[in-house]
Amino acid sequence: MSADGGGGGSQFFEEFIDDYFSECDEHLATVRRILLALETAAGEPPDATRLQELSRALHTLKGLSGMVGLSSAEEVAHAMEDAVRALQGETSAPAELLEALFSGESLLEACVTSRRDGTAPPSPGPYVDRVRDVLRLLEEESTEASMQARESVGLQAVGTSSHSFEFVPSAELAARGVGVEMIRQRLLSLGEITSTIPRVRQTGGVVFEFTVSVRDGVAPIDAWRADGLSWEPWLPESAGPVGMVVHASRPASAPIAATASNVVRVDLARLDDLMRMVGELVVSRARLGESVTRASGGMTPNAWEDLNEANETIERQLRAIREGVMRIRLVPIGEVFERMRFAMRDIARETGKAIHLEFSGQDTEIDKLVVDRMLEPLLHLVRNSASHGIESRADRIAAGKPGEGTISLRARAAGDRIVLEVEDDGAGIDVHRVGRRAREMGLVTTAEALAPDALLDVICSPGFSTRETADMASGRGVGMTVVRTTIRSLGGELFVDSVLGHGTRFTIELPLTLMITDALILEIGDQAMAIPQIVLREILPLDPAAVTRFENNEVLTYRGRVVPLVNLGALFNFPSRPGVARHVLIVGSDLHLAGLVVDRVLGLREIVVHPVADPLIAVPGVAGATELADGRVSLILDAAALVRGTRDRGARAALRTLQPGAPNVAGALTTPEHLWA
Amino acid sequence: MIIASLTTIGEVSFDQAVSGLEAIERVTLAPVDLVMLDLNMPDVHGLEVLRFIRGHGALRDLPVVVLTTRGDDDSRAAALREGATLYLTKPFAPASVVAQVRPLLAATRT
Repeated sequence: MSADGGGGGSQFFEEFIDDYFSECDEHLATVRRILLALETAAGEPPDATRLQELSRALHTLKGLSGMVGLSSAEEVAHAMEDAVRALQGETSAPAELLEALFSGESLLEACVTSRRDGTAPPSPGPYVDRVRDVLRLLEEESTEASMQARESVGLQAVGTSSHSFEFVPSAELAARGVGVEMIRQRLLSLGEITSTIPRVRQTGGVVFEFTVSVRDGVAPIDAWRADGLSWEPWLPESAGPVGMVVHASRPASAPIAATASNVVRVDLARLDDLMRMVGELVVSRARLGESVTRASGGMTPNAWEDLNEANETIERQLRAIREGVMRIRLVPIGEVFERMRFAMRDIARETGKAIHLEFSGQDTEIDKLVVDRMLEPLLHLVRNSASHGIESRADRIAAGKPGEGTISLRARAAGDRIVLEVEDDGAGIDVHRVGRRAREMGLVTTAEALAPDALLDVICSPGFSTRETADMASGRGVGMTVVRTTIRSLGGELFVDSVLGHGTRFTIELPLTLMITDALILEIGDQAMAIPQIVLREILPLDPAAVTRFENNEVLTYRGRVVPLVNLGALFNFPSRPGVARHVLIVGSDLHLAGLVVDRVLGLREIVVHPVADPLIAVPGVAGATELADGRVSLILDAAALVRGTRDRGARAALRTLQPGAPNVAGALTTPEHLWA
Repeated sequence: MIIASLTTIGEVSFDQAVSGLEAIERVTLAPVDLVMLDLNMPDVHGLEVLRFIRGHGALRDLPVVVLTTRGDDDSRAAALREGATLYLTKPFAPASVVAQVRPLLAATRT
């Protein structure tokens, strides 16, 4: 830990600003989660633990914002704290108060964003006034109501009796999560705390003396005595249900203990560093492996055996480290799903539609980077479903559907890949309407109905929208392009299924991790290339007799299907070796297969993926680069792009026109430093 | 965040209390070198906490840094009267907080 922090400069401050943003994100997420929970249970008395957690988050937000001088956020958080306090002891959460809290959260987010973007923060004044008005109205209502109640029972106030409690905190109790705040909450469940006095004990410890005005019919639970609380026993005079509190209160393992979590927050950049180091280690180990193999001739068989065994052990352990580091980067997708719930509230209000969000597989874990990048695309798909997919209530009922629409978000792991689905039970995509519109815009020329992939291409085209007017949530016609580009940049793929009248499903497939993968090393001409193992379906020797030439394209009959072939040597302009028995790698999805023709298959290796970031080098069909065991740089094939290339003529043309640029690729191979941009 | 800035002083560990009562509980449960106290807290007011600390024999000399948004002279005088070691008003510049807190910490540790 460095001790030179005293010399403060602007850089010093900037670091704290980053901390501020990340802490705000965390606390805002807590606020959102609790608000949603409170809204779901709006008819019941608000849960005291939740309210406490909410106050805690708001108080921290207020404090943090004060420290960075963001007074607008400070004032908003303060007003929200007041509103939360008003919820305490209510029998149900008043709708206007919840609404005020929800808008407060949005405003807080806006304040923080403005700080991040360096723009002027929104003014907190109107919001603070609004909260004050809401609170005053509620106050008036409740005094009126209680006066009426008192009149009706003949001025008989609700019976209470005063009791004393003592709480002695200790380290043992604190370790179990039992502290004075928790005790205070428990006592609040009995009635009003009229005084709290901390007294110093002879031992130097402290004892808290509470005086509680206990409502008739409730009593403390004996189990509380085990938590350091003591009181004089009393017999409740009323014959009310004494056990009530027993059932209403929480078990001793209160959620407070859960908030003191075992979670460590780590800067993602540090994990990236660690992952990079592990990656370098993987390459070094591979080099060692090659040396060991070569050394077999010059050593006694026994000595070589030992060496080889040690090498293999290191490989196994390295694999375990790699998986361990990778697991650290994984976070449950549920976080992102929860945000959808929040966004859905706004959408439902804007569109006036009743929409139910359904989740499954929230626990599915996925790389943090992927999660962060996927937030916007998922949000867009959900918004699309809500505004374009789900019909109005009247239309739904007329179509014989339940009035409330459903959007399902699903996640599951499938091998090294993650599958995410956004499905709605709305109107589905009208293929004819989309086709007509696409023809008007000149996106397609044929008059025939669109196949699912062509449909996806059309709706993902920049500027495509069937809406005449854009609404707040969607319809600007840029979103889907961005969705697909983002997913592809993460090495994933987007699919769509839609049945007119029944709904639409978007399926996203993503790699679980981005950095290290098992790959097959190939040779094309004298160039080595790598292809991730997960995209491979089968490797076949190429039988020239099975290849048919069809309109300038080569196709292969594979398991009763016609599969287009991509000759990688020709594509990348690497002269193929004559007289080599070539191989075909079958890649792609069930719907679209392609065969990649290569000269030789060298073997399976662990490779470290370096994305090619330089747009001058980025070429369709190449996903990145890697360093092989012998120190050579090799390009990694992007199988999905190659399959796409065989699928639509546009991309095929793009791949063809790529040929003049192909010497660039070869050039990049000989000057590897360009690749590590 | 302010906590993060204090870690630059050296080996420092932190415990956070969410209310005045909890603050009192914490300082009596485990030895503490320094208290950073917010005046505006739920339940017990910051000054009450300060009064308790100063009234507690073993904690009489514990440095207490009062952090607050209230910059007026009355609040400052009240806090200093109750025995605040240092009185800082928001917004805080982390570097300046560190500079002022470091000597206090150094003093209690010797």
